[in-house]
Amino acid sequence: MAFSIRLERRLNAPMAMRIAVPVAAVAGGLLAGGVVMALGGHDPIDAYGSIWEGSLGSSDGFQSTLIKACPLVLTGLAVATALRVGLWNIGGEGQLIVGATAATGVGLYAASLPGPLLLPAMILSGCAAGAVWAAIAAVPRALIGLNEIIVTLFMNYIAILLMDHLIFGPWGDPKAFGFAYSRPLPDAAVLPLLPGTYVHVGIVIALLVAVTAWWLMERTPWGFSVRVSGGNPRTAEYLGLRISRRMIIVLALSGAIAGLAGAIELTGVTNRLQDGISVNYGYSGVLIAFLARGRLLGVVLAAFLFATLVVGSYALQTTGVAQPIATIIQALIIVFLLAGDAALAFRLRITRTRPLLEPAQAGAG
Amino acid sequence: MSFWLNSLSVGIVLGTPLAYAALGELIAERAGVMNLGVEGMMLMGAVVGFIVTLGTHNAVAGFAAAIAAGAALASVHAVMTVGLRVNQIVMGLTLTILGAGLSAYIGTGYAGRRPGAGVSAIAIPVLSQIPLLGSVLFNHDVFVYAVPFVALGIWLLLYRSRFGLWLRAAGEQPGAADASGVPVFLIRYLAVIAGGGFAGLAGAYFSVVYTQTWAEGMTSGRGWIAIALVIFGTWDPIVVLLGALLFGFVDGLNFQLQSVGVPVSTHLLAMMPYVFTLIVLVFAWTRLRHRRVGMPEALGVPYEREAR
Amino acid sequence: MGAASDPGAASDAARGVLEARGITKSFGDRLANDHVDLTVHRGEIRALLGENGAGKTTLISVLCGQYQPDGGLVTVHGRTLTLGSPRAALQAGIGVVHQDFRLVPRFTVTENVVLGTKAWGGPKDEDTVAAQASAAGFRLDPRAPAWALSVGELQQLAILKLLFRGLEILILDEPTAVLSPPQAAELFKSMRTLAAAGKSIIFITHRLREVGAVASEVTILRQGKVVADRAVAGLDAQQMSVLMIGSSDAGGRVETRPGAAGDVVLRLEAVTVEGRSVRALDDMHLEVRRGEIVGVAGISGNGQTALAEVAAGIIRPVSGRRESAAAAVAYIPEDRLNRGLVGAMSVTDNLALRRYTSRAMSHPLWIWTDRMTALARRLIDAFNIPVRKPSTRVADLSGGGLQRVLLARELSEQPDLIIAAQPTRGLDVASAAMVREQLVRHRDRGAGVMLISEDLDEVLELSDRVLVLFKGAVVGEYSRGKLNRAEIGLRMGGEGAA
Repeated sequence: MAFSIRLERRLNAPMAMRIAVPVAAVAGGLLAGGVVMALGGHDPIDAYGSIWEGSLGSSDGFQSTLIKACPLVLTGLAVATALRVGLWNIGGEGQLIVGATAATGVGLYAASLPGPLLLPAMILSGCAAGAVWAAIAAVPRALIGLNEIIVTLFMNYIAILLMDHLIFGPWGDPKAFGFAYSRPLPDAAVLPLLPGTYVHVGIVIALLVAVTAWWLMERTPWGFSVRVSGGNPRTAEYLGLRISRRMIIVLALSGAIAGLAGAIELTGVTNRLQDGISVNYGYSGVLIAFLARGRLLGVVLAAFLFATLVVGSYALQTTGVAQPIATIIQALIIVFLLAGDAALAFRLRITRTRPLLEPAQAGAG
Repeated sequence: MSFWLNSLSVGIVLGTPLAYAALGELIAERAGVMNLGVEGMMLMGAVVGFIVTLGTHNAVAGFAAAIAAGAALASVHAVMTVGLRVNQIVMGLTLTILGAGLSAYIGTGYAGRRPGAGVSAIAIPVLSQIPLLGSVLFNHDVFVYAVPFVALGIWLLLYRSRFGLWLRAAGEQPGAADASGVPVFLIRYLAVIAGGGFAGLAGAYFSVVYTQTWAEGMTSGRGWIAIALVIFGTWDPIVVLLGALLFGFVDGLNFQLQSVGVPVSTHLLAMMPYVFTLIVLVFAWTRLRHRRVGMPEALGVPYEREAR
Repeated sequence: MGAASDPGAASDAARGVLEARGITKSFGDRLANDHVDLTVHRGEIRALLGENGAGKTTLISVLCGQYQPDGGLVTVHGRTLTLGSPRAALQAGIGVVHQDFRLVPRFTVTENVVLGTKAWGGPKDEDTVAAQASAAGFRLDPRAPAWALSVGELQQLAILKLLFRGLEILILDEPTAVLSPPQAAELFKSMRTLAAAGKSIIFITHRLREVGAVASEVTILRQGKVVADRAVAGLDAQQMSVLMIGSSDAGGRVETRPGAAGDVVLRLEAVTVEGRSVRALDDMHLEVRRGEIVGVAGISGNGQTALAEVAAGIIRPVSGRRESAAAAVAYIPEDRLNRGLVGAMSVTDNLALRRYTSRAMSHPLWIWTDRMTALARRLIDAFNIPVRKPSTRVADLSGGGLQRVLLARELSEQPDLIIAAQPTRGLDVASAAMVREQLVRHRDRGAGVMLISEDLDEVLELSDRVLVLFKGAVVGEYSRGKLNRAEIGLRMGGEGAA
């Protein structure tokens, strides 16, 4: 007797499964990450112990997690916002970097501005630079339909090289002994801290941006029209909506959010432009937005989870496990989540390929 | 004169891995599956090829392992996108990130070492003696010599064989192919996995042959350039090969300009291949988009036999 | 693979070339095929008759291996067929000409014909295909790309593909839907020739008159079950209709009185629209008045889509003028999910698509989602949209559900002009009846209606005036009292005096 195994579309997945799948995906990702560590000759239980200790298990760790969550919330929001108009912004990395670069430029060349003006000027210029960087990809997408994934990606490499050019060249710090640092920024260009902590106010800004993005996209008529354009351009055309304009505006907004992340990292964490100001934040943003199912407020939670992994994995360096493990676990979580999606959409059905006739039916012919 | 000849020679070497990666992507895309994980597969190929070459002192073993590593990561893509019908864009991106992370993890401690074995250049007798062009064209390693034949072979496979007809049908109209008895799923699996093998090979070429060293993220976006090459190569293996060589040349120009001491920052020069790719892409797409020349109709669409 | 067991089958004359027993297939809760039996004999033309949604396409999808049934058995020449494998079905000799033909547009005629066989489409194959095409009476250039062929030629190509493989059981899924009546007669002639040569043919249709025209046997499906399996002789259209619909009420046809035409509400003057290779509309003149239904008959691909979109004001003509006196235009597009709805958004959102900016729904800085939901609940009740919650995604609805969402949105604004393109295609009987009823009701209210349909019976039944569309131009106009079915049929195929 032969059997055939096939996938069959499920019409409705049970509610319990819809909740269980993402939870299981995170667990599966952590488990698979443990396997990778074990294969690398490290004790995964020890490793996860230090991840916990280094992130949520201590006050210092928790504060570091909040600091790390800030850029991740923003890059996740950038991706989720662009998805509203149906575009994939894979260029968060580059937009973040040009955001930090522009803010540095203002900080270095307008250092004489009074403190209360300097910081906003830097942050706004970061947003503007991110918006412009994203718009470079948005315009060919909107006007000639050129795939935005490729263009936003290429802009990442160009952004990194532009930053390198500046920090190794005109903005380089002569006292950095050849390290890839710009000159330090003036004291007025440092983001204030939340009282009683060493967490800068960036996380508050990020949460405000999340709520604003949710309001704009989900609760205004314009946001509604953006979602229609992203959901079905042909229907949007029928309704007379100008899709290309919305694409450009939304992708620019998305870039502005990523640029903001760069300006905040600069003013809140590094205080000078340096290589590695972004630790794959832009790419993690894509995964975060996907983990959150594109939901703008869900991004906050997903970003927090990823921040935990990243901060925790710094602690791993002391136990000898290399830091890329955070990236690996993040990607594995998404792989499991995708497999889980398939489990939600399809049901495995095993049938005999040669079903026997029941006598009653055979006679009925 | 020697400046241009050197650039040409370097360009051929730099274009070769791009061509392998792009041809691999072309095979997958012609079968209807977009693989945005090329960059990750190249990195895996680079690190595995490097480590195995170092361990065995045998570049052949290194390349075999690199091909296997690329194919292994690609088979994850195939199972997820062809078998489970997961979104190809998300899956490919995730694999790029996974490949970057895994290769960095595996390669910890290998940065800065030498592979200990390599693939040496073979000067072709007589031909390499041709003045000027001889040494540019006929003093390379076996991968360089093989690439035009590989491209031609893929062209013949696509347009002059039953398998090619089936593969193109799977990428154009999987429903029609399936109804005609073509094993669409099997073909898509094979195409994606083969494409990953090509990406792995391209990665190993970077680490074992070209730079002869391993560094985290060393392919720095070449995988994405390969994907772009497929687009403006209009999904034709011969045009894709020419495109890859052109890009290799632009990439190589950067090093040549540095070596002759052009007073421009190395970082700005290094932008050239990206900026050039973007500009060419915009022009190529402006010209092609209405006709969608060569683009498989079902590219990126999961096939489901019972879909209604 | 393929037919494997029980070699040495008994005489086919007695037991049928193909026998399907107890075929059962469900989609979610819906039973599309419920223990269906079907037998076809050598040289027989069997009609498979049923309304949309009766399970005809599901049955043939099982026979050709596309669907794996939940239960049942198929034998070919007495040998059990491996189900759920298109390859096995082909090897057993079963071939289908699908409604959408399942061809590869970029491939040549030859490549399409040989796809899936041992050949790859080289010069030798071209000669074989050319020879076989002319033997079958088809005029097809073996090197022409499929995208350049007309609908009729595509159908010939799809049939040729089956003949090339020497298949014995040919299944034609609604082959006449894309043909003019004279072309259909031509097809019937080819079918009889093939049957005489020993092929067995299953002919799927929902048009009663075609059954008597070509088939000798008929199997009638209703709601997934076989309700009749007999010879066509001695069965009249009325009886078939009763069997097919399940009552003597012939398919929810609506009672129509002639409308009273008023002022012109839409005028197209010398409108020209460019298409992919030829002009989609060529110097089109047309008027729609208030209180009338103007039916546009024609075979698909003669400019229907362009006409609908120009009339609805979505696309602008290259030349010519569109004048409309309508304050509100309703558009029921042919491609419901892709042109009128957003699949990933909820029923609520889709119902609000044309009024989310109104002051009742929103302020530039805020949308009152509760008001949108309230509107949705009202429309869901009024139009019997089959959803439990207004937050259901539109992509999860059936064809009938999608059309009800569109109607609810478009018609609830009391439009003066209604453009309906293929509004009942693929719908279940109840939804189709509702669509027709709504069009008549709004006509009686004083709206001008343009009904573009490939279903000639529907056009003839509902229209106050019928226009025949051929190659992007009006080639015939008939007022209600002077409808001539045969002549309209000829004009649809580009024949008859202009």
